[in-house]
Amino acid sequence: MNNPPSKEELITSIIKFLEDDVIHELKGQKRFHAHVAKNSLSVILREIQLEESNNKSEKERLEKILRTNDSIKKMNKLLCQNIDNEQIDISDNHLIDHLFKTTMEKLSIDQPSYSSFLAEKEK
Amino acid sequence: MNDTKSQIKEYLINKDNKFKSILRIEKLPGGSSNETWVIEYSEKKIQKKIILRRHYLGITNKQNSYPPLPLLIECDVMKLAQKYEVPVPKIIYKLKNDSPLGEGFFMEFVEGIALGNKIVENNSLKELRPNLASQCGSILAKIHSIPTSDTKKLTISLAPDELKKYQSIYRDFFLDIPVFNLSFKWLEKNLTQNKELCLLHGDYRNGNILISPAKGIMSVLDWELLHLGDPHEDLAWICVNSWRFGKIDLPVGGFGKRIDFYNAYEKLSGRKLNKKSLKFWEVMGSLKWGIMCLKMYDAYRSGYDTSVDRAAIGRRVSETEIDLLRLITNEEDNE
Repeated sequence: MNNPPSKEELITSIIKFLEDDVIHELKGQKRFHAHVAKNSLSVILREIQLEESNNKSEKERLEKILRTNDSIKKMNKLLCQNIDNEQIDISDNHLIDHLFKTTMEKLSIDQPSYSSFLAEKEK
Repeated sequence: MNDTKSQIKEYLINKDNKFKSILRIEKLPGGSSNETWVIEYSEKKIQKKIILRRHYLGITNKQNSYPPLPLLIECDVMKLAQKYEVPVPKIIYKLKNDSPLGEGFFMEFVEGIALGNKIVENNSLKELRPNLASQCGSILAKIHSIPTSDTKKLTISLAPDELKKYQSIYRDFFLDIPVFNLSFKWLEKNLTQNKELCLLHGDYRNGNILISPAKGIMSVLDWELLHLGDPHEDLAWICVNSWRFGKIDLPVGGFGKRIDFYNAYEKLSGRKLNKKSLKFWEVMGSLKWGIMCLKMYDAYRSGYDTSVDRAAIGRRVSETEIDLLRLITNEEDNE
């Protein structure tokens, strides 16, 4: 095991550095890119915290819908095939519920300030 | 980059001696298939600016089954739009085919605000905002009134064509995003039958409409996706949640109500809008933006553009996934 700082602390320190010292010093495209870089680090930070539990619940739901046990990647491929060839109806409640939950989990990492994410969370 | 700057300078000085006074040449951020450059010069001691739009050279090298619209066609349509009272920047010079700057054109720089988040938030636009939706409706009706006989070279793309196009782009990424497959299936089942063709801007949304706090709407920008198609496509695109910049309760660009926008459009165009078609195109629009994000990410994945923003944009796809789910499962029409 490595010595501290933890990966979370390292990333947080870079985010702060970009925010406090870098972004406002830059102009035009570089400023935009530095801003994007900061946001990407925030995504990584949230992913470190949430990835495991998100993937676990996505996998459980996929297993139930597809009645099989495989990697998330392969099960998503199968789910897409089932939607394409209409083995699963697109108005199926379990499917819709699963997709809502999975998408909300994705957004909790990618973009938790997105308007539709916030509106959906309030429901 | 510096090479491009000297090419721009050389081209302009050849055209007019006043450009010997060029003070600054800068590439503006953003743009997927085109680059936008701003050139600052001084004329009789007054600082002035012009804009260069040209093809993004990184992308043109890539094999592309849906190549970007030739900029010279974009330029011709913008000139035509001006005749039909659509606010557009005036074209100054059209680059010749063999120009070292590639394909493109110079146009006037118009002062104003175009960034979507500023349009929905900036205090200086507070008084203008309530009227923007109806103004946008009237302008769109004018764009759609441009006779298609003058625009023979344009691609025709109706609902089945657009669906097929984005389906094939999605398949080529070999990614499995179940919400996208679900959305394609929904679109197949709810395919709009509208066959009326008119000239579409193709990217008519908050972000491409330049507004001056003092003078109102100044220009409609970024005509690169123009084509002939179903008028509902343009009418729905500006309502896609990605262009509301957080103002989810104001469906038209995050600044206005649907009723004001549609009423102004119907009044000037004489068309009666079909709600089912509008919904079809809003779902199509949201999906299209999701796939465009994937496409921009793909430029990173394939090594054509390794910038941070091309990498990061892949993570914006989930925004369109939630919008698609909300649209598809919402039986009621939006406000």
